[in-house]
Amino acid sequence: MSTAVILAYTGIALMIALAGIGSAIGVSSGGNASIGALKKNDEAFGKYMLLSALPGTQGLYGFAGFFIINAKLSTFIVDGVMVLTMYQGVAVFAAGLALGFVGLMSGIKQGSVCANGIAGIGSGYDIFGKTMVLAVFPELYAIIAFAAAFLISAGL
Amino acid sequence: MPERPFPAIAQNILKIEEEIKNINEDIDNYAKTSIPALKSVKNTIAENSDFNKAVLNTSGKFEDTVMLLEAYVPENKEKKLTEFLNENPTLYVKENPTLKDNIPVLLKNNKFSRLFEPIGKLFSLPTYSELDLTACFAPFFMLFFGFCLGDAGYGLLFLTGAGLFKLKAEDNIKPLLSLVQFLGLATIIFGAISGTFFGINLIQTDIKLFADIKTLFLNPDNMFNLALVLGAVQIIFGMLIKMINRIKQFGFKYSLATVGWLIIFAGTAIFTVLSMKEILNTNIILYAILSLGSFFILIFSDPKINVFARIGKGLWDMYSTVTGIFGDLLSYIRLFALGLSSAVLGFVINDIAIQILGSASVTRHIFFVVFLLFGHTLNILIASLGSFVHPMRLTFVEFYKNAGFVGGGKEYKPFEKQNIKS
Repeated sequence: MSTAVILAYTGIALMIALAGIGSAIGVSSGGNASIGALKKNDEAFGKYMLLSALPGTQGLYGFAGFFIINAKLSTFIVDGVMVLTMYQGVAVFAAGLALGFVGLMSGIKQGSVCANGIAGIGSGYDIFGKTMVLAVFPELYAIIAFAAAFLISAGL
Repeated sequence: MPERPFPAIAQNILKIEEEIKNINEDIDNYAKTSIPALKSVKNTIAENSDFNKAVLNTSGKFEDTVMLLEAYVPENKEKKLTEFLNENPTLYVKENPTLKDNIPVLLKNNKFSRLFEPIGKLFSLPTYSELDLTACFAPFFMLFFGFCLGDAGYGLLFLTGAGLFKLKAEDNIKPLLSLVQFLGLATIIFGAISGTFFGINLIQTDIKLFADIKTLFLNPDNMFNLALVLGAVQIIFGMLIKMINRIKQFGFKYSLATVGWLIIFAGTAIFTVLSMKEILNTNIILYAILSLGSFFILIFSDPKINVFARIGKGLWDMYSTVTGIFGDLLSYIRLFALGLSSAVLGFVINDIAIQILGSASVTRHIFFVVFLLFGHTLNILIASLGSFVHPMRLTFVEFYKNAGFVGGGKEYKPFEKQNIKS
């Protein structure tokens, strides 16, 4: 197995793992805040749930990025052996690194925005719509990183 | 030996069960008559509380011999109110409010854009003197939702599902269902443009029906450009609204800086298209557009201060707007990426389902169907949440900013009879 292939799959691992971890932490923050808020106001569970689910998308971007790149990489298999140039290996590694890290941080931070919003709704403030808008600010960068991963894979 | 024989106990149980049944029936009957009664009592209490609130809001004049109540009424209901006041012994003064009063707003929209009012309210109502932007963002919101979800199959589900539900639904949620139908329609359109149907990529499959029109589908690169073009259109449209709004609120002189920006952006866009088609090939026209626009921006940045200060302020405005617009435009890339990710996830679900079907297990057909249903339901839920929230951000941040929307209006909540459904 060539270094290029190892690099490429390390990149894919980082992409799925870091983005997934980000989402997992993010939705947990939302879930924890929801449970706290339920004690004060249990009528707004639907709103809590929607806000808690928002940071779940980063992990999906990581997975969708993996799927796109995986489909592309499978076209480089010649006689059962994957042949990648060093350029291709590094490109996939870079895509994975970018999407992974941005997904990780944006998932965690989006989770904390949502958690604050949930706490606010629980205390009786009408801030559902505003929290939703504010919460998608950090998500944009994960979306951009996903778009970049797509463009990198298209250029392989 | 037990104290009582068994048949007697069994008899007793039957009797008690009969009694329980009767009591339950009584409770049911009681509920049937009492719930409406309770609701009507609740109605009366709410009305009384409203009335007391209105009374508390009056202020006493002339040592409380006269009670004064100030209120607003929409123009179309003014006649009725005047009639009522004339019939009842009330002294009243009618006045048109000035802009300095914090006048409550009542939105007036047509049948289509009224559906989008709840979305606008999530952010803020316009102030009384501002334009109501609901009608302006409604078509964009619809298109953006469609772009993000971008699957003709899902759109069809939304359209028919909400349609069927509408037949049985109560009147107060019907507008919401109509909104869902419009969003579904937009999703069908964008699903057709990108060639996605329940995660099936119509560009890559060999279905004879689509063989002829395959070239009409847009590939991802074109979708990327389409997202940016839609963004540019919305931003320029926003500036146009800002211009109209400033003319309406402050006067023509104050709108000229925005006119300058419009000249620059719309002019450059038209020039780029024309020069790509090689109708124009001199750059002089472009320079003319840029200098004319800059002239307006620099000289009319703030008509209240002297010319030199205006140029300084204009330069700062130029810097912040150019960097801002660039960021705003890039923000629309999300439309493309969200559409792509929901399509990819739909595709993954189909892929795994087909692998299940290919396995040797006896129950594979059941698992195939269950997995497809489960997977697509999950994808629809997650993707439509994202497709709702992201266009909302584009509306409230990118569009409202360029349209110069301030907001902060107070909702018109009239003192009226309660209408709780019993």
